[in-house]
Amino acid sequence: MTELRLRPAQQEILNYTGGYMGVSAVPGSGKTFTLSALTAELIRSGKLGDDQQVLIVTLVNSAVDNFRSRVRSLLEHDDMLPHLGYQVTTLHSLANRIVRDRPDLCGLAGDFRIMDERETNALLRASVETWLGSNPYFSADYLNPELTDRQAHSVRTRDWPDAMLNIARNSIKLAKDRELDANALADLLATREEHPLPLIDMVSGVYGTYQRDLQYNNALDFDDLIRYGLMALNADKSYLQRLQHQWPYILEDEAQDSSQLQQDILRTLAGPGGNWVRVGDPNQAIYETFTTANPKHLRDFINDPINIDVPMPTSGRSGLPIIKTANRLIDWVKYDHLNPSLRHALDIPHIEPTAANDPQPNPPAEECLVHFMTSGFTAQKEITKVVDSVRRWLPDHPHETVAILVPRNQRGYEAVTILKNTDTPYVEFLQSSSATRRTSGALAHCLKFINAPDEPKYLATLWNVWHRDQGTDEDAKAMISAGNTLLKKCRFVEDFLWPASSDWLDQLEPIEENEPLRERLLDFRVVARRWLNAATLPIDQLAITIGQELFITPAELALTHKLAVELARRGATGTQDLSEHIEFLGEIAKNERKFFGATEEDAGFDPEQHKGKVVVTTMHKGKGLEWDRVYLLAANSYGFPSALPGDQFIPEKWFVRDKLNLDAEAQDQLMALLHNEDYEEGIATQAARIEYSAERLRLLFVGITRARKELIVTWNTGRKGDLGPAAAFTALADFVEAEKE
Amino acid sequence: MTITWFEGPAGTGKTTAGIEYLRDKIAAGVQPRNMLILLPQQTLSGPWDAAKEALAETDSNAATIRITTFAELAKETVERFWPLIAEDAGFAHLDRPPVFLNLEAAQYYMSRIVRPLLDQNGYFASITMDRNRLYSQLLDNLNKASANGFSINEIAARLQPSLNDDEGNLRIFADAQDCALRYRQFCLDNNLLEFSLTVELFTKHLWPKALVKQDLQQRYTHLIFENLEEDTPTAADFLHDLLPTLQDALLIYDSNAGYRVFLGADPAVMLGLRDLADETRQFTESHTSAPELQNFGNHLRNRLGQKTQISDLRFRDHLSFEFQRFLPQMTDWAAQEIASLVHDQGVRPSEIVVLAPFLSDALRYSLSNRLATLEVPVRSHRPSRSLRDERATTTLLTFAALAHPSWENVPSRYQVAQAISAALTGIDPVRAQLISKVLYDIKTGTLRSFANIKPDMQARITFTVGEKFEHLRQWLDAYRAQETEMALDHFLSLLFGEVLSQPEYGFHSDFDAAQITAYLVQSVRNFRRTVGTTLGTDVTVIGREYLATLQEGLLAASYPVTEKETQADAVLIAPAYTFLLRNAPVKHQFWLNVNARGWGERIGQPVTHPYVLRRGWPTGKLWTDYDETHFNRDQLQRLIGGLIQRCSEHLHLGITEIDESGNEYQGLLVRTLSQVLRATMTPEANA
Repeated sequence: MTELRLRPAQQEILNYTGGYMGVSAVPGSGKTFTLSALTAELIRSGKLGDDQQVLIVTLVNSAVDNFRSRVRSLLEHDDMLPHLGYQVTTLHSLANRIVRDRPDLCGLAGDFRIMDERETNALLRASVETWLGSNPYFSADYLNPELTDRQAHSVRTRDWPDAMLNIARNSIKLAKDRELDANALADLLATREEHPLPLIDMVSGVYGTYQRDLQYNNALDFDDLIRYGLMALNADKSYLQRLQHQWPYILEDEAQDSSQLQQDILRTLAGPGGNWVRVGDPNQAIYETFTTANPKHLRDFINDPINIDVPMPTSGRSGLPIIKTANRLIDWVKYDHLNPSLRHALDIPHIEPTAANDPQPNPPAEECLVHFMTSGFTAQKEITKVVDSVRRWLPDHPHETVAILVPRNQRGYEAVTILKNTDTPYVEFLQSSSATRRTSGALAHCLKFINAPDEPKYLATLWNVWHRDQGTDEDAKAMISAGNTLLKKCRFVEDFLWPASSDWLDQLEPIEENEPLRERLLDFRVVARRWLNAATLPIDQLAITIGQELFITPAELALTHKLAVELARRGATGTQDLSEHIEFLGEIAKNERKFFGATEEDAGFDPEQHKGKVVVTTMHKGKGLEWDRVYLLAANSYGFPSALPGDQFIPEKWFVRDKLNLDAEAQDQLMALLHNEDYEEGIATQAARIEYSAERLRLLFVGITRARKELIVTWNTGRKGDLGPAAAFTALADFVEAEKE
Repeated sequence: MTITWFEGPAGTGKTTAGIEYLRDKIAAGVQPRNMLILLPQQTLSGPWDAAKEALAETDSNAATIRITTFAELAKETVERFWPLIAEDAGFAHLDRPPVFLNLEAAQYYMSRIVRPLLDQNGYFASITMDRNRLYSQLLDNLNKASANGFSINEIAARLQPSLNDDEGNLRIFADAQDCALRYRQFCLDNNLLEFSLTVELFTKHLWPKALVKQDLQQRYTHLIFENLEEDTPTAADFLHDLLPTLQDALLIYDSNAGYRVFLGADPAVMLGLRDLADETRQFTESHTSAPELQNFGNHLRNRLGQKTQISDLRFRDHLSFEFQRFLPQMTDWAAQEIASLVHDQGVRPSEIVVLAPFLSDALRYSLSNRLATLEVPVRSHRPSRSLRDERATTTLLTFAALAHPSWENVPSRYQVAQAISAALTGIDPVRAQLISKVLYDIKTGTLRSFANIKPDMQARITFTVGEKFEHLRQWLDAYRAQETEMALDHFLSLLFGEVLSQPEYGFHSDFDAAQITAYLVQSVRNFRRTVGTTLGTDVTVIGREYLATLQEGLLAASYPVTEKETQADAVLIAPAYTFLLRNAPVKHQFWLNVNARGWGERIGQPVTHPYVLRRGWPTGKLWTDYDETHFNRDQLQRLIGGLIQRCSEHLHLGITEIDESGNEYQGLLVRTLSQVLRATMTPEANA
């Protein structure tokens, strides 16, 4: 194996022999590489028995693939099985594995399924609506008294149930994170009769019904999975000991996004006196408001004097001007932020550039550019300006990468529209546009055709689906388009597929130009007939039959297989109607339903694969990635508030009195209940503003540190034209200006 | 009398020697009708049936040799002596005969008893599982009780102290106990006999009676019992009593089997019978497995905790493995390898088997398709197939739903289109869809007349098809117009006979469809006869109930696979345990999904437990993860041993990173395999 050239901090980590170690790693410091190298080192050191493994736990599936391929490349192996001395998994997959190992410890049968968000939302919504129906005056306590009757009616019908759904979902998530099941919550509430907690009353009512519905469906939600994982570990000591023996070393990546429960699972697995390495960057904790994640856990772990603390401050990713900008953001937040409550949002260590002889040196400063566009634009103008800039830049940089990072998907779609209209080459990476969605979508279209073979529109779509991987050159595209147009006009599909007296194909002029199309249509007819005749097969076999002819890549075929198994399961005890299977596949295709365990879900996105095009994505999705040039949009006071009077916050609904953040208030009520403390209305709302603002500052930090060489930051005046630049934007713009001087 | 004991692993000649024993006994003058051959399951009777047939060629009396199972023997004894025990056993209707329930009917009744308890009384509230599996596991508790000879009143008392003392779990076992008692009472109230009750009646009420013993002793004087290790402690108790009354007995025991533990088998208890033997013969030399492969198997089994003889005998040349990321890549590899063996190396397809611990229909179908494309004949081993999946079934039941509006089970347009497509000849799926769209009134669940639609639509459908459709429609209308409904099985027979089997209709030349129809009619009839005792004779109720139960998945409505299929020269795809129990060695075995959980781990069963409910498990002893691991390892080493004993040339292992469900998992087998390969294939080991 090639000898590794390591930075001092990396070498120190590779010298790890055991115990609890916390690593605070700045962006671009090479933590994936370092953890992979540590894994290889532990395996080679002979510290592991041949029935033991290093366990690497990370956040998303794309990271799993990344780790696996890196470790594999670092280990020698011959023609035997790839080394099984390590296992890389996400936390959810780990919990899934634990619960499936010993479902009996959690009161489950081994064939439980994990229900995705769409389905769980549907169950929750039904529970919420039932509860609200039984408690029609509940909203009176919280609605803004200044609403007109008409507004109030509209709110009660639409906005209020949506808000309650949100509250129920997040509070139940928190309850599960605190290992509080529905019965335990109800019992605790019963002790608070004199100090009512109305929001938690609602949550408790919904929670009970929701859990019963999950049980009826033989399902868990993702939060249950984590909860049950810990339950299983605590329920049987010998099982825990077996896993502790199997995994004597646990390496955790992205530890800043760990929740209490997730941390508890890993701590339990590591055991007191065990070996647990936690790597993360508290400055990049950007999922708090969506989840129960809290960077405080990692900070506390690192700051615990008992634990080994090894910072990784050196990064070769960005040029010095960008590093300085990022460091300035840290300092400004820590020392100068207008709102002292936000000074905890970011913390040291600063990012340090690499040494001169580093194998991955920083891009030269003279090649770098940092620009804060201080002029304010309307939202539309902002995007137009950015797109113009991209269009000028691209032709001169065909071998470099560029990204537009937006705070929300909606802005991303707006940018995509303009890019499309201006024929600017782009790649959209907004929703999970994964193989799962495409595969499901293709299958759904095929089944739609089989379900209604007399409809020309489905026949025409089938034609397109059949050609899904073939439309690369212009001639092919033209032929596919021509065929599609023609088939849409085929009034009587039976005259094409099974002509009786006249063949619809004969209407094509028998001229030379039409011959390729005609031949292709003849081939298509054979395929369409075959699939229609296969409709007699059970649904899983039908899906496989179509999939085996339609798909090429192993990932698509594997997904087809998995979908087939799921379709068979759905058909075994419920409907066997094709339309319901189509709906199921369609929901996956539209990303309305996740398909857990699908292997290429969120498969790693590699910016290097898209040189010469601009990538459009959110700042969240951009985390972990890097581009030569980065545009950060919408850095205004709405997207990056400072929790000062006058700032607006999305979770504070216009129809709620006193600008209360009911979601935060509900969670505060839950915590008061759990800790048997007093609850005071409004405190949580204020705290939520701080936490939200803090997270947005970290998001800005993430956005800045995506850039290798060039960073351009813009802001807009918002829908009503009344927004200004974010305070952080102004501070950094001033800094950059001063640096130039 | 002499009790002879044969013992050894599979493939060492025990059955051959046993058949020789049988021949010797018949030649020595034993009356064939006095010879009883017992097996743990009827499907293992192949070699004995063949031996019986061969003997019958020279002695027609050989046809009276009885080959059966202990359970079947119990059942027929109960039937014969029913009046003797009905009252004592607590049955309510002494004037009526017993109604023996097959597995489906047993599950059906369990579902009817338990469902209200789930929905209204919060039973099993703390667990999450599919309801059909719950019913199955509740029945398992009863079966385990009878298999081990303890009272069904002891179910919770045995499970509770051993399995997790969480309060929620304790409630589960109390609920399971209550369900068992309610079910048993229901059976007694309605003269219904499922497996556990039948065995209990035999062992507790009949067998102790001198009259019954005498009857059996007069009929059978000689016994052969093969694969003892796969039968239950109750069968062992029976043998203990029976053996001293016989003139001769041969007991055959596979020393490393015991695959039916989950069905109540207890090899350790059966091994105790060896102490009664006068002569013991050990079989050690394998005739069916290469020594190198046995060594490989022994290495694996050694790692799993079984003391075995391992040597330096190199096995690498008898082993191939393929590591892929995804399942389809593995099936591609397997198909290509098999095609190469068959077409390039001249291996007969029947000498190749493809195995997985659990074989989903999707995997089975996917691999079969690939093999068919490569022109390799293939068959799947399934003891039975589900009627529900058959096109003929869905066609018949769709028309049945249309003919019985009282069922309130309105087929979808798609179902009607499919049924029309199957029922009429000369129609394509598109025109079938047109008929469904234009001539099917989904609101009323009726078919409209072809004559009443516009001429251009008639032309599209074609008049030939229209005429056939019209005949079918009128037949259905005429049936609906009758005052009384027929029993569903009668209706299906009539529909087939008067319409679908006629020329110009879909089942006329389709022999498979005709056969499926016959099986379906039989299934419905069986259902009507067994379930009818409690549901009454209202044909509407029974017909609707049959359809609903079939759709729920509760009623598998299986039918047996034909002889022709089982004897084809084709590659066999089968679940690993099913292959083992067929006991037919091959030259090449492909093990798929070696990484999967199923190789070495049992499926979780929250309301029952195959080990805790065993005779040998001390009541009150906690079942820990150590026990779980120990038994899993033991089962895996038995499985490996059994499979390798049945492989004479080469083992091909297919490993994927991602299993069928999309989960990444490194199971016990792949980890053990990795350890063995690393230990045995180092440069030092191969120097």
